Amino acid sequence: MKILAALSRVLPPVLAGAAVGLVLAPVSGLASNHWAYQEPGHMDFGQGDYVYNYDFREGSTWSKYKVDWPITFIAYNSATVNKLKTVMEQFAYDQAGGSMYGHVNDGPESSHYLIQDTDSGKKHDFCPGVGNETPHFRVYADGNDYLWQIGRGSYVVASTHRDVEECSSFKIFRDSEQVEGGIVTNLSNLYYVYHDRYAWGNPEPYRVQGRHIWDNNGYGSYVEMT
Amino acid sequence: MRRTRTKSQTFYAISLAATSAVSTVLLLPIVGATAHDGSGPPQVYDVTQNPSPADRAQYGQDRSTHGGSAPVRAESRSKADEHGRNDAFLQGVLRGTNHRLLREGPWTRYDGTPIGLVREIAFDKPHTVPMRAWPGIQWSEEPGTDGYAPGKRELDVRRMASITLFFDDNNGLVGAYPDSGSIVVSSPNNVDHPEMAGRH
Repeated sequence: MKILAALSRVLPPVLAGAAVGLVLAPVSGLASNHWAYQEPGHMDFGQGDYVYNYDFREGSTWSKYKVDWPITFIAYNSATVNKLKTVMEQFAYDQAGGSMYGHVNDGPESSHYLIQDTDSGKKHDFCPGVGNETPHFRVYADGNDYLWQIGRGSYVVASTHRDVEECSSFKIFRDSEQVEGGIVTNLSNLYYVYHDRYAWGNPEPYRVQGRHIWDNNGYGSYVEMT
Repeated sequence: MRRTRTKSQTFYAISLAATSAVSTVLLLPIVGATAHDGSGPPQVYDVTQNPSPADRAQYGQDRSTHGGSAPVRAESRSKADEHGRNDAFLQGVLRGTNHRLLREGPWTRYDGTPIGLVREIAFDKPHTVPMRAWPGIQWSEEPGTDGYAPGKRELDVRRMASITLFFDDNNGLVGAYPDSGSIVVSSPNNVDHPEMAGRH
């Protein structure tokens, strides 16, 4: 309050009011954006394949300070990035969003290289304004549009969330768990699904950093495509 | 048998090789080691199993489980209670309804500094709130800042199952958002920003 009182002495009243109205704090260190509850880990799919259990805002780092959302489901058996996106168009996921990065390793099929795959995903509404929102998923694989291994076939992994009032100054982001459930329910009309089947090491307790609402139970869903 | 190439065949071969090389470079995903600014190697979670057909009944349903809640400071909780009791918007929304606290969690800046808490209140029956001003948080888009400005937008909300409330310890109720199943009509007085599309 001493700072605000000092501000009001040196600033015109309107500017002082603005300084009070905007409840700002300087950004410190690494935490200039939202960050995960724990360090990201590898989901070890066997046969040398692994995938990081979050997607990331940058392609070159994997710390918990650079995550965007948890990876929440896998589509397998005969899945590719384009096939999953095409299938989801019938559930109104026909618009693109902003891009993030998935970190995937296809084992021997990618010469054991870790790949940083970028994807903008699919959502219902390209630009939800005040009072509107849209679920949004992003799908990751390596350069040939899928990961592959014996017994699982071609597979892809995806993160989920919801953009709320994104094209307004009131935007917030939330619902990784609920959007996962919604997509799995959509896909259960077409395929066998296993909702929240195995622990993937990315539980996020309910809390809010800035405008990013975390809530994820840490269990990944499986979609057996045909 | 020896094979010879004409000039045009040679030109074609060189062009094909050059095109392939350029295409390969353009199409290659980013490959290489990633840096880590946290501590220790990544935890490994064994997910080598596929679900078995016997799992289909058990794991075919939406279990709607959540990740639990992070600890909320007692100070934030008592202030939110007080702010909530004195907030005309919230009291107007809740009046005449049966409702319960669904969950609550801490609200912080990105650097971890506490702001207050966020609560989700569930209604026993779908709830209608005719057009009125709703508080909303306007998180700063300016690089190097970490905070929000309180604001209002006019919404008509129908079939609302729950409402998410942002309580600032010092400034009271500063944000309210209906659940995703609500039917919401935005007033023509509200301002959208199409230039913000595709950033998230």
